[in-house]
Amino acid sequence: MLYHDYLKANWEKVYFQFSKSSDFMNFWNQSLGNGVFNYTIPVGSPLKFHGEELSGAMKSVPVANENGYEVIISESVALGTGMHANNPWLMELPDPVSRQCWENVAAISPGDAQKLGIESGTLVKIAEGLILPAFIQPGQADGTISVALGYGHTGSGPVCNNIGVNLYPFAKLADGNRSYGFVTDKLENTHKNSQLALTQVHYLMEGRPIVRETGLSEYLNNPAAGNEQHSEFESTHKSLYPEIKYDGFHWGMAIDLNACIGCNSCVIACQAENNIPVVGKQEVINRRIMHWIKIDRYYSDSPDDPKVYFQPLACQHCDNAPCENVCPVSATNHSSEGLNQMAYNRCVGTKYCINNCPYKVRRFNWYRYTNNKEFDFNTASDLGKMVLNPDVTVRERGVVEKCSFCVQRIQEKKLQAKLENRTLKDNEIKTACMQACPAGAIVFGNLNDKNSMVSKLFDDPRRYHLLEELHTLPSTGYLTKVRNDEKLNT
Amino acid sequence: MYNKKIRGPLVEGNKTLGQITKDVILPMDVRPGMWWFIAFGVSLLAALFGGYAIYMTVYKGIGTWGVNNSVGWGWEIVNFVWWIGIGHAGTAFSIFLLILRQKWRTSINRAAEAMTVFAVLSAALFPALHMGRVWLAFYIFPYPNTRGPLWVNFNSPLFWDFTAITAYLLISASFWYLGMLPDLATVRDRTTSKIRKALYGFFSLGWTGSSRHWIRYESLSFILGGIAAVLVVSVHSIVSTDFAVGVEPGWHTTIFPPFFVVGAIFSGFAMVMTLMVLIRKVYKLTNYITDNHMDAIARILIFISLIMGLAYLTEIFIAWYSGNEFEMFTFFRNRITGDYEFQFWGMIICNAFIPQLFWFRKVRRNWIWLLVVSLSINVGMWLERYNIVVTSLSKDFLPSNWVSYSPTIIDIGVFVGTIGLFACGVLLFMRYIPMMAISELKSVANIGSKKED
Repeated sequence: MLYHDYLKANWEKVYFQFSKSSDFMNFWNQSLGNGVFNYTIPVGSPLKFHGEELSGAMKSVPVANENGYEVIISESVALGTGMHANNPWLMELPDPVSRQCWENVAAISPGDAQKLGIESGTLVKIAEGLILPAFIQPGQADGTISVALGYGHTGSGPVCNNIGVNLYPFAKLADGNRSYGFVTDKLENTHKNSQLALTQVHYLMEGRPIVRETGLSEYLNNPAAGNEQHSEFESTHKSLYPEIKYDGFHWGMAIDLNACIGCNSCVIACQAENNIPVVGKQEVINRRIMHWIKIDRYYSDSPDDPKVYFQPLACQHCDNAPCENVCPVSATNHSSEGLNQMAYNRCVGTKYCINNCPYKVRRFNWYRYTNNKEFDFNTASDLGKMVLNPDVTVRERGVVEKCSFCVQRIQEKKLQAKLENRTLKDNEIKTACMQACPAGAIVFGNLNDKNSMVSKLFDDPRRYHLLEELHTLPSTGYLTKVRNDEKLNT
Repeated sequence: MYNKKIRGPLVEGNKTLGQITKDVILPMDVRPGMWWFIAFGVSLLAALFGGYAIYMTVYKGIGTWGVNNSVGWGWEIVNFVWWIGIGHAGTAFSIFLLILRQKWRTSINRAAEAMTVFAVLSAALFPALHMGRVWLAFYIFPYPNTRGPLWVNFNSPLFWDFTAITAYLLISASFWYLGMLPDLATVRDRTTSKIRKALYGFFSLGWTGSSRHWIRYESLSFILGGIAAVLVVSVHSIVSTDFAVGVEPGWHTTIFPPFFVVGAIFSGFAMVMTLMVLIRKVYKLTNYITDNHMDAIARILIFISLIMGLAYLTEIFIAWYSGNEFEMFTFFRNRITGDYEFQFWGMIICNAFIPQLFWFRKVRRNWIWLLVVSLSINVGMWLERYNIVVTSLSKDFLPSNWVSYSPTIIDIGVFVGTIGLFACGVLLFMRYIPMMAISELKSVANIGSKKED
């Protein structure tokens, strides 16, 4: 009852003044009944910006001395404050920049790491009772250490218990404010190692035109800037075989690298939609994460001040798919609508397709991930399995799986249109990743319809395909990243 | 024609025909020494370890291996190609040397063919185990079915591979077994044990040694030999297409079929040499497997080693000459230098340099040297397959997918298990089957000594 009283008192204090009703109980019951109370804050709010107090606040931020380190405690991108730490999807979601999951790490600068002989994975002692694996983060300022909140639970559930370190005890209250940071004068190399659950271990593009990029001024001069190779490959496009024609639909996807903010929403959306299993820390270390879409992150320039690139990568649905040719049992084949599809029942798991996919987007069920106590995440219990999407097959151990362009959604909408005796509208079918993308970076649609959004994006001179030189003819196109360097440089 | 004055006798010690039979059958008549039981025990233990590893693989999944999202094939495919390569020796010995009229093959071909059968059996385990759902392995058979009918993908090199290996196993096993008939009959006729009489009698298929039998026997040998000769070349060519048809850098090369066939014969001959050195040592058969025999194998190995060296250089040259950045990376930064340089240089040293020791007559005629060099060739050939399978996959087109690979105890277990299986097979062969083709030995016992030769 206590909390009920507190809540009621708070509503009386804060919201009752905006109500038209004169009786609080009346207002309270009405709001509860509606489930929502809409109100407008009167114009001319007394809130205003106090610049002078900002510097006061800045003063209370601890500053390290010359040999010390500032520790910044931040929310984890995946887990936030830690409220949802027991959600295995989020636990296995890699950080967009460090591409690491399943624990929190102390991000240190490359300079400090070199000075102290620390490598990624070395356990470092930052303060009394705070030992964390180090992670060398390009772009981290020297003398600073970043650690994520949200880990180190002890009684919140089987997934998150005893994983990582709880940073809340180190976010101290000072003058009534919580300080998400502290100063330490030591960063001690314990000379012990742990393995980090990294989902990407190489950071550079090695000079390959994987993420194509241009500057704003170059782009304004020439919209195809940075993407000169595309027309070159297009002009030499030849095949010994008759070109495949798609009479009805030809599904395609455009991914705008300029819009992608690397938030990983698509990854979770895809995981939820397609019943993708969670595999746990050790299997991530073994490089066997199951995500059908992942966001690759590359760096360029100096490790102290790198440029960062994001690139969502899922099955490219190649028209000339190298995986299809090599499967001995034809378990992966091409649909009449341009989809590269998997017949799970037919797959015997030779993994030849995994090897022959130049994008390495195919995933193998290394173990039985369902009803298996060794993978007790969400599909080992009856309750956990409630999360599964009934429209999508749960894959057996030993079969290969990959992005299907959410074929269940395509079929559903096609059927609906048929029942309503109409043609499909553009954007009616949304893949899970497209639906979840807050930046609108992913667009899916029919390439045969010249007016569809995806066709228009394919006509953009920024469009290119990943590894065009292999002539795999992907149905997924990428749009060159245009970087506004001028603003930054001046 | 074989000139005994120049090349020495094929059978030393002026043996009579009866003595030849006696010498070859002796190991079957007497209880083997302690070494045999120890060797068999150790091999059996290794095979049991393999059995455990296979049980874990099938019970829990391919996850028990070291392979991952980028490196989909690891030790198991390396071992598969390695064993298949070794399995080339028997047939290559029997057929190629037959075609080239090299009479010295007679004392070696039986053991080499036995080795082929056990090696191909070991090899055939891997592709099956490598399937995620091995219980559905029959999907790969192109049989009429009620699923459409749903056929296999005739475009897939794995299907060709399956066909080629099955054919090779059948032909080489029949060639080996049917070649044994006269000798099995000899054992049947000499033994006093009733069990042996019944068993060898059954397996000698009623051989009486009549002229009619001999005519049929000879013509069957020629037919099977003719088929097998084609298969020797086709099997490893087809195994190489598993890689050559792929798009991966370092795989997608036209040099692969001949390169693989030569490599297979190389490792096969090296394994024959290893076994022959041991057999003539423990069974004191130096009169039959003479120093000249070993010398001849060593000479062949030098020649093949030079071809291998040339092939390695060609691969590297073409990688550079193609100007393909992915090929360049794979060869120059992931093999010659980089994470896998140990495997690359190990391969070069073992396959291209160490066999050059055979230029020296003293090395060719010293059994310890022969053993060392032949074993190093087998290690080198294993490393070559490791280079091809793992390095290409570990760092291919998109750097975000680059990973490293290391085997697990289960991977190692399966490999050790197949070595155990192979060794068990060879040891049983030594104990229960005449190690040399007695009838053929007799035909060459005096070759080159009479005037009409």
